[in-house]
Amino acid sequence: MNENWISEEVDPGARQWEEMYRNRFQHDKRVRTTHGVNCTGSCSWEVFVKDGIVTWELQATDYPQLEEGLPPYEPRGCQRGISYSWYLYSPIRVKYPYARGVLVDMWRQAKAEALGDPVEAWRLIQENPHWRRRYQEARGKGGFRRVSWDEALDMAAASVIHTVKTHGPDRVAGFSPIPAMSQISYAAGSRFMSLLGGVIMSFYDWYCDLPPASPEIWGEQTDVHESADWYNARFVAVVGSNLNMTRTPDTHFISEVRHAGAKLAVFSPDFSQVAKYADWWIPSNPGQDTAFWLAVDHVLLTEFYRDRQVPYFQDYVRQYTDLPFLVEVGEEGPGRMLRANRLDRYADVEHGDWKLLMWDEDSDEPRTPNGTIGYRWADEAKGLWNLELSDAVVGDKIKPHLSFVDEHDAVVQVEFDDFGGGSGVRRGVPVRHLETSEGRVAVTTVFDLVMARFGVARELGGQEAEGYDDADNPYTPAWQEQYTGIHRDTLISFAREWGRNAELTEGKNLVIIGAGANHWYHNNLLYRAAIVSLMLTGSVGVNGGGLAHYVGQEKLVNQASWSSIAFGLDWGMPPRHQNTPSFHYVHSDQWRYERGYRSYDTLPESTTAGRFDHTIDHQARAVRMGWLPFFPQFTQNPLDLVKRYRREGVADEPGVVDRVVDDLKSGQVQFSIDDPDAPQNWPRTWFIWRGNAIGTSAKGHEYFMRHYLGTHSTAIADEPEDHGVAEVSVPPEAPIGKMDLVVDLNFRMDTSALYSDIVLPAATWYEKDDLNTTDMHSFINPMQAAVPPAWESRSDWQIFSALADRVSKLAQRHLPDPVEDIVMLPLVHDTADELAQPTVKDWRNGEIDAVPGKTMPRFRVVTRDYTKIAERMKSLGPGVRANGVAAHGLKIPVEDMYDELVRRQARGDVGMPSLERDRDVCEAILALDPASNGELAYRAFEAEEMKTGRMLRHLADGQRDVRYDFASIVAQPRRVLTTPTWSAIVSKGRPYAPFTLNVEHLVPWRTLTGRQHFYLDHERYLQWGEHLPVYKPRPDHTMLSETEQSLAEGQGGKLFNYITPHGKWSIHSTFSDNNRMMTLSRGGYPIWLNDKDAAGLGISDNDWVELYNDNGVFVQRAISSARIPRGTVFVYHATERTVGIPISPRRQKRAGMNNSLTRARLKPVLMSGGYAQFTYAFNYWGPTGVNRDTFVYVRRIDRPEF
Amino acid sequence: MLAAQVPAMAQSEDEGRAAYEENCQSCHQPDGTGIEGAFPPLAGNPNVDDDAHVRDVLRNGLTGPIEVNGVTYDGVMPAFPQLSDAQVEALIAYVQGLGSPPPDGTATSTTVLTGPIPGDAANGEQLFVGSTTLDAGGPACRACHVAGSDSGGGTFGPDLTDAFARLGGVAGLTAWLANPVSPTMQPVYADRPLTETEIADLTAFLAGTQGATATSGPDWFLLGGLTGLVALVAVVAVIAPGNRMTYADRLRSRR
Repeated sequence: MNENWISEEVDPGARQWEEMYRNRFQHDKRVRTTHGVNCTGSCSWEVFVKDGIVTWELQATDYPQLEEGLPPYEPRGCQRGISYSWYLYSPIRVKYPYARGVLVDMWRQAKAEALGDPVEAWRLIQENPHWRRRYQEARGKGGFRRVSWDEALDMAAASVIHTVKTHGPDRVAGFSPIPAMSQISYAAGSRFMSLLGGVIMSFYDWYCDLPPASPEIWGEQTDVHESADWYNARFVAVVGSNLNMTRTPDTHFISEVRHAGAKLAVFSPDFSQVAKYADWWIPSNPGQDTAFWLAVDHVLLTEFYRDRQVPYFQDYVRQYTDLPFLVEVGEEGPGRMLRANRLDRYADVEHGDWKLLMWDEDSDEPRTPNGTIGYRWADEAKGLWNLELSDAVVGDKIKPHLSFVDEHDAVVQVEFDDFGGGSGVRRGVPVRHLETSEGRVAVTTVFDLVMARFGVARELGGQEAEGYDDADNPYTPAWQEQYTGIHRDTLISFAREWGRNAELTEGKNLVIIGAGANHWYHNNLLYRAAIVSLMLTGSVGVNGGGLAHYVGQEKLVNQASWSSIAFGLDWGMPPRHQNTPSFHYVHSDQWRYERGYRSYDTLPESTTAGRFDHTIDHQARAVRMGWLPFFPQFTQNPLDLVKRYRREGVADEPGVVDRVVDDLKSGQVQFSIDDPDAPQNWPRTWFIWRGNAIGTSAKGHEYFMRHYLGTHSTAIADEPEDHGVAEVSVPPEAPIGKMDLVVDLNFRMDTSALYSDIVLPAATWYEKDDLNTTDMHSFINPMQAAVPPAWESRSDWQIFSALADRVSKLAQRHLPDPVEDIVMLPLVHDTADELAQPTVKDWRNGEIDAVPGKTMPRFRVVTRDYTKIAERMKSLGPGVRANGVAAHGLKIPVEDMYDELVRRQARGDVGMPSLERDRDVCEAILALDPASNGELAYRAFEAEEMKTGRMLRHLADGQRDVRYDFASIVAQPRRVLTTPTWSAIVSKGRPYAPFTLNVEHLVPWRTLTGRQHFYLDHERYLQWGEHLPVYKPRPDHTMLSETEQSLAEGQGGKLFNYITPHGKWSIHSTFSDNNRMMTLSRGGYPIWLNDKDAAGLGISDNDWVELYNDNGVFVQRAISSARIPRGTVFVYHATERTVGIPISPRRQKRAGMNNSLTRARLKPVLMSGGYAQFTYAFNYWGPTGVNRDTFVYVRRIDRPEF
Repeated sequence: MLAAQVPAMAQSEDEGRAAYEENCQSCHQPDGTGIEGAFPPLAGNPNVDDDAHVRDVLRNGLTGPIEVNGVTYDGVMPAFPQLSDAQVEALIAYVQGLGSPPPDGTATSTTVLTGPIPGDAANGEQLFVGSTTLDAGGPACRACHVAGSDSGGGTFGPDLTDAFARLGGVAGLTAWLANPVSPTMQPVYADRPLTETEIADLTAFLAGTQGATATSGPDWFLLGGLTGLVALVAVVAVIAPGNRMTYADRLRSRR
């Protein structure tokens, strides 16, 4: 051989070295696929395969053109995506099943003792505290051993069956994020969990990608523009979003829209990549954008509403916002919106508490318009849920008064909060008096409240602003300077141009906003302030205008059909959906280390109720009042509970529900949330797939280490001596190591894999069939298996199917007969639950009766047959045929499509479509969803017509014959269809802009008034002072209790605000450990500091530094750069603790990762529920996992030890 | 209990036979007698009567020693994730219907690793490393595998140094190479099968790598290179300035 090799080297005539370059680009086949990495790109890629090996990838360039005049989408793809093929054959690929060695030894011993019974073996391990401690302490310390699939599945399935039998199915939890990025893989685990009765954990709120302002204002999780629509904007404000960095394949539209004449303003504390080509770079202080936008709103209200009226704006806000609605008001402050049934004329209308009023100019009396939420869920007067301005009862047209400033009965001096200044301000509000069933009340319009709130002088008395230079009066341009550091003149000219542009273009003002804004504690207020500027300028629901929030690839276009499959609805299984922020805050015991929100949230002085509670008190109340879910649900195993009731003679489901309500009232049955640290309330078995739940997704990572995993932690925070908790039990010692088993499905050895007990090798994105969609464009992209799963890996769908097989097999012995489970469900959005609680009343205090589904959670009894889980997993159940698919509260019949699917992909002869192969699932999703099946879109519009009474089905006429199947999206990217399960009209190449369907066809928003909300009158919002847009100060380090110990132990220094924006050479942590990206970057996970800050601390570029607070410690090299604002330290999201992590000199333990410094802090007002848009839906509502209000110390360290 | 719930899969003998021919018979032989010393018989194998066992083996593979009718086999069977549930059920029915092995087919020994080896090991090595291309155009073994210590090669597939023993000697390897059924190899070689001569030569080569742990002889080229390197380092060490810092040291010293 050596001779051959030498002869080639010394034979230049043969020029064989050139062959390398020719061979490099040889291929046998090219396969269209994409990357499922929550980057929002969803770029179409061609992957090239030679001899069964993926050799390289290239951007696809065959996207269909949108309407004439728009630049094309192609090419899409970035430096990260094009390096992906490296992972397939890389050293960090998980190639075989692995299990923690110490646990494997115990398992084999226990299995022998249990005579080969896996479930018994698992029980023996769990009942031996010494064993349990031993393998828990080994977590994260290496020692993985390669095991067979057989053994790995046996252990995992045994743990599942043991947990179900011993503790209950709601102690098995599954976490996977962002289904849109690989829908079938996500659905694999969520379907398994749904059939099992396990807990499906949310992600969008936990990642803090969810902007709570969107449900608050629009009743919508998130609905945003595809990037091509940026080209239609004429004034773009980019807020806390680094487009080049994080929307790399889309950012060309921003440079192109500059050519089309648009203006670009960038709000970013650092000189970001997008700032460098903006017209204006506005470096407002971190987290203070709220103050800027409130002052912009002040200018807009002054110049475009008070000084003169713009017809477009006036018509817009009357028809599409709540500004004309009537609100009760007194000197103590604004109150509730006035209900129609309080007036004689409407006393007997159906759902009268949920119909609201405007003051009609012509008749000069209050009228109830169409479209409020009472009409959405009407049983009697159907077809009136629309935005027509007419009296829903009498039928005549309404021309609503926007303001009573010209015609009022009195002026009331109303108290408004000034959370920045510390005391309230009184301002005059014009009112009309009305006789109601409860006596005479003063009412005003939302608009008049807004004018007063913003301090716009209208000579109504009180503390009105004396002009833009009045710095003492919130929210003037001069007032905002103290927070933002931006001069008032800059702000005023920005606001004037903002208003004028919208006036001239009819709303082509676009706010592109991102994580830089959404990750602050008061992010909902920041967003509301900006959205107010859009609503005031008629910029929502038009192409090129509105709020474009891009944080996370949350848009799962085929949501209607997908959710039927993903959550087992086809088998009639109500899934146990859990909002993860609450789950982790409670179960990882982060709540024990703080005094709760009262330390860092700001409430009005007048608020007394709940003012001095702990966050967990609000959490407990939210659960028992049906506002939020929480699992485990009861201290008892729900299977045992129903069994007991049955034994005691309870006959049927209503009987069981009655019993459980009685027992909850008497305390015989306890909610787990009321005693979260009791062992019977711990989550036990945790499945993680497609995500990094213990690493980059673990805010409060070090608390996960201690309380979930029972392993080493670098947290030094102390618990307060008195937790100050009213509603829940606090055992003196927090439990260590709650989780029995953590199973991770992964293709890459990341932090979650490192800390799991079992790691199962998952197929990569080039080795499986799947679907992928995004907000950023309107195409449905396939993932395809370019090659079979390498080594022993399998697709997620196949892994969970195999697990289901094993669980069913073990169940034949351990759970052989069907069992009944009682499932606790919160009050749910897009159902009649939205009318549950007109007022906030707690049944436990006797304020109201405990009524399931009304004043407390709903309960359902479900029969589970654990021996049939595998078969059900692989067959599309009859429920979807009988009930259709649903989204946005619309039910869409699919019976004929289901039957067609049976013909195309039958499972045996049971008369059901097969879901056995990944491809089968793709086909079922495409065939049964209105976004990819034109006939179903047509039917969805028919359903919407029934609700709204508006002609809509013509919107689907032209696409009625369109059917996409997997082969068609493989052939070329296909555009989604116009469907009322979304809110935009996209026919004929029109780019997706949210809410155009609402504006152009008068379909209401899914809110209390059916309009966009300036005013939020949930009682909790009134108590929190967040009924109107307000400014609340940022929590500082003295409020957060996370730096005191570090200071006290002599480790102090200068405090920095700790920021973790998204980086250039990774998507989260993926790609960061790939040698191509490490070649482009500096490698590792450097800590970025301002050059002057660094010099002050004696830190030079590339020095090792230690970043620490009471939550934990992170050690890496420093980069010193003038680009970073002073007082701030950056660590690009996100890091791993797999390689290159030294020992921390301060804590004498191996340092952690970026989340070691964070801790979850929840905002109780976002737990509000039972009321219109404030009702729970998975990933739609609940407190979010904010992490930007974090403070750290920095210091240089000598040569690190590893 | 479960079986009653499983849809009556198309269990026609045709489907079972087709799946068997495509995936099983090269090793277990058309009549299910297996290959002596390499692959156990399915006909007359009592383990085959257990549906769940066969299902598990097909789905998860089987590695290590097993005993069938008093004979121990120590081989490797890959998992077959590419089979559908219906195919698996049909296969179970099919292999259970294979009946008893013919009386003269009863194996008594597992030792078939000795005996005549057809084929030319030198040609086999050329094929393995790709100096001679495979007739039908399939990629050379070395693209994914290592065999013996001096062949070099990829780590995508398992190390084949001991494949001769693991896969059942001449008969086993011949059967395997005639129809590689692992999920990764199947699509690559399905349309580009090896010729009989290639199979024989590769078998001979792999028989020779058995137990190889060191190079067969001194690698004069490598030795020469190493000697030169040592000399060069020595010379540089003498003439280079002693205080030259590494790049890493220079970075460290900048703090």
